[in-house]
Amino acid sequence: MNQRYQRHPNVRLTALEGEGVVLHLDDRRYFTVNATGLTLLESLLEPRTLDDLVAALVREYEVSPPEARATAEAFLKQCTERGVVRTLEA
Amino acid sequence: MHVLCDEPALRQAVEAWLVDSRLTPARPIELRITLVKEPWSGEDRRRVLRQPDLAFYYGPPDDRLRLVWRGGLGHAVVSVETGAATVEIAERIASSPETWLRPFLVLVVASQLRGAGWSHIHAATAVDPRDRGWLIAGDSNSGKSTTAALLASRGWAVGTDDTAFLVDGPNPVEVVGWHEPIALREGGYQLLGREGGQFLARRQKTGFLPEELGGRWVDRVTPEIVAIAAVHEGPTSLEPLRPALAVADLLSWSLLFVVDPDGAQRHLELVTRLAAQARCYRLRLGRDIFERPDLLSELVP
Repeated sequence: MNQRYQRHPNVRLTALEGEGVVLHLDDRRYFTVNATGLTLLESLLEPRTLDDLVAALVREYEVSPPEARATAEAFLKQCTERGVVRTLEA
Repeated sequence: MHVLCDEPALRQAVEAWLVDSRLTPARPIELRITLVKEPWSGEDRRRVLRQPDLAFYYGPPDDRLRLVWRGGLGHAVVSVETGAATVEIAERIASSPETWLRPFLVLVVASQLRGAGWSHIHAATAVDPRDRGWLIAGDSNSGKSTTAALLASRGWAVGTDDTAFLVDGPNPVEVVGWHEPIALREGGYQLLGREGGQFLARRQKTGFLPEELGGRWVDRVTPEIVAIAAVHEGPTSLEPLRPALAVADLLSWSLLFVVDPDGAQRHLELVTRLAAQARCYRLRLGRDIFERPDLLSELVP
């Protein structure tokens, strides 16, 4: 439960009108993320636990903790698969 | 821009080409060119980005970029920090600079200009009769050049049909265009319906300067309109595009020099500022634009 996550150091992020554009320097892939994804990736500049991310979403949006947890888990899964977010050793 | 070369004819050819480009970077750049008997065949174990005819080496422990063109016939090392470049040209191609100036040396110069805060992007630039700046981005088959030629023939000012530089500085973002002929494939040439032009043998295209088409050349454009272009079979249309999607598209036409973390962040921020200052559209170019050449400016209120 104390697993921590962090944005990959070679990921670059920019925000525009509530959306984010993500550029991964390692393979030069880029994609957009919605406002929720932007919040999470901005938070992940520093190492975060899932609980930290859930708290960030609850703070920022009118969502219940279970909804925020489901969103954060799904986003982390996508991002770790794409190498955008790294799992840190405990 | 300074060219150093022991071969007077070669130096003059490169100098003339650079003068024709009309680029005026904020800080001087230096090209040191030498002729070599054999193509470069060295080794670089760093990360490599391969494009057709070009290998682009970068990354630690060296801050320099290495460009290897056509198996080493052209070879350049560019300092990111100072912008200085050393270029080697194999003797066998030295006497035909038209074969390597544009496909190779443009990229060397673009690499040098990164240090001066200029970020290369494949895009056309223009200013419409209402004095609004346009940036039209897209791949080599997106209709940029044909559209640029058509717009020049309607009196628009055109900066470039492909080689553009976003200039980092105070807002708003400006785009510098490389002054060179708008290069049309046979299909675009036929659609334009103009006689003459300069046959660009190596590229199998026909070139017109904007001023030869009734327009004028403009060195800098401040885009108010960003259009991501593609050719299609239906009528010409412009659809609003979310700025973040425009940024992603613009990145795809400017990825070559996103090689170092700091430079990538600067470029990303520059493209973001550009999309934020402009209205962004998805532009689908149909053949009807040749029947209604003023359609583009009519489509944007």
